[in-house]
Amino acid sequence: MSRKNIVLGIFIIIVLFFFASFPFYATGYGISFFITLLMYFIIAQSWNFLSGYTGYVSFGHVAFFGAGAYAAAIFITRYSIHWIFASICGGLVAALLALLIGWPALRLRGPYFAIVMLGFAGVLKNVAVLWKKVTFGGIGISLPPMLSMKPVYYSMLIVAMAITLLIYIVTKTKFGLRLISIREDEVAATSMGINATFYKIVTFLISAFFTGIAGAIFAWYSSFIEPVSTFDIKISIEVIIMSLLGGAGTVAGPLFGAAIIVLGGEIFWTKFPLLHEAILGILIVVVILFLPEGIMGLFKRDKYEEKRNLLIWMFKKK
Amino acid sequence: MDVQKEVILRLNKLTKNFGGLTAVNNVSLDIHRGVIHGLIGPNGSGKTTLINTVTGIYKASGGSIIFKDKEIKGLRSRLISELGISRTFQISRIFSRMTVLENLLVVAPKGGIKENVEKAMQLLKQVGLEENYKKIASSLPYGQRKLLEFARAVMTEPELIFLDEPTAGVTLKLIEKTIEFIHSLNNNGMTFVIVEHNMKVIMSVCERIFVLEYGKKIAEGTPKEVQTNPEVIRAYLGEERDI
Repeated sequence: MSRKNIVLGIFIIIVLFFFASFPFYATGYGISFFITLLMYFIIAQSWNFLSGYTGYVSFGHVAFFGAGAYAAAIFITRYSIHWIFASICGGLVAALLALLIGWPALRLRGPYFAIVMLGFAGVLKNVAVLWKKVTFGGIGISLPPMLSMKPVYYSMLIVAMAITLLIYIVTKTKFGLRLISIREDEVAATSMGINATFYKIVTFLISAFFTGIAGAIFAWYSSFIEPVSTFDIKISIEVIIMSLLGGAGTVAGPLFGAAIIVLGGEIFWTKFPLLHEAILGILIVVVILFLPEGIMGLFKRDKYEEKRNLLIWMFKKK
Repeated sequence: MDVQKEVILRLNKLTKNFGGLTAVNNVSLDIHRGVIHGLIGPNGSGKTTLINTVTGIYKASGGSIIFKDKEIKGLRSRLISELGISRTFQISRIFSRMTVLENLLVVAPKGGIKENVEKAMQLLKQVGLEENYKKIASSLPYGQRKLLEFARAVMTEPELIFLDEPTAGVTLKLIEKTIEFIHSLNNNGMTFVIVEHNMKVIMSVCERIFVLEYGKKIAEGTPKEVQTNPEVIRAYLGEERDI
């Protein structure tokens, strides 16, 4: 095992220990803040799995978040299903919707796919408003009060770990390579026998499933959902920014991006209550201008090679 | 060429229209198994469009494409590749941000990464890229990218390969490497159709040549026959006119 891997392993163990033990010494506010952070970990990673690896940029991932939240809320309030099972059902409903929209939408590319997803989220929001018999429209759905935040925290943590581990494993397989080949050049990939449609749809379903679970757990955690905040486009935009900031198409990038945005948002919000969004916006523009491949781009091997080659060249010159 | 060799691909009156423009016009030709074929013609004669139509990137407007006695017209490019036709592109389309080795591993039709490493490294050795296997593909010079793309096409285990200008913009040394690789694969039974502007390469490597002009086939034959064909000379040099 290389020294780099040992250091990385120790870092991961420390981080996991921190997250696992956090609720035992944190305040209610701290746990609540970390639930939000873990929720963004899940959604940003899910978005990254689809858009970062295949290059199909979704501007409507909040559709799956909202669908998962509504499905879970309906299962809990109407059928008295335990919230954990309802969360899994929420994920499945989101995956089913992904299958319905993904089949036609994934034939489109670039801005066309992005716009379809944006429209899809808008349609679902209107369904939630207008289908009053099931969703109670703008009044929203009130869920039974949550007795403890700890189960919610650990559920979010487990799901965040699951999607991260899944992405890590996938990147080590031919499946992961094939996703990247679709992002790099889909025409070349299909000409070499790669079934791009299959890989895109499977990835889309998994991405929607995890986003749906995050929405479902969030519904239980917040005890109340209504269409405007549950299908808020801001969530879609935020997860895109998080992934790009950290480094889309990498395992750790969206986690770093989400941590910076959520933590940064909280710090700026308390220090600069009127300007915090503007400051965060400027920070994002600066980072993306100077780090187009995100924070993880700093550690990429081709960059490293260029630097190393430069050193060799300088050495030879002397 | 042994004309008795089995026909692996037959194009029968193949036509491809783009609106009012007929880029490939009623082209009929036979590709024989184990033979290196050349496809030449002036710029805009429809060579690349013909490859794109046969390999499923474009949908044919008319005619038929028979590969190993099966009609493949209208099939998706993925299925055509699975049947045994692979290709390279005029402007190389490697997976830029993958490593050189990953470019081959990703297209292996069977098995996972581990099972295909040895085969991929063997192919890289044949094209002289084995020492660059860890490099990001975009960092390779243009000629080596073309060779990588060629090796990637072979990795899909095809029976027929279309090479679209494999030596364009490539150094002499790498042209030799490309020709050597073509001959080595051909000795093991691989069939080739090579689109090329480098006549020296075409005339020395190909056993049978087809000539296109304005989407129509104007000649076919051995390199010697094509070189002396008046239609071909006219297509390339133009007609003499009294002034």
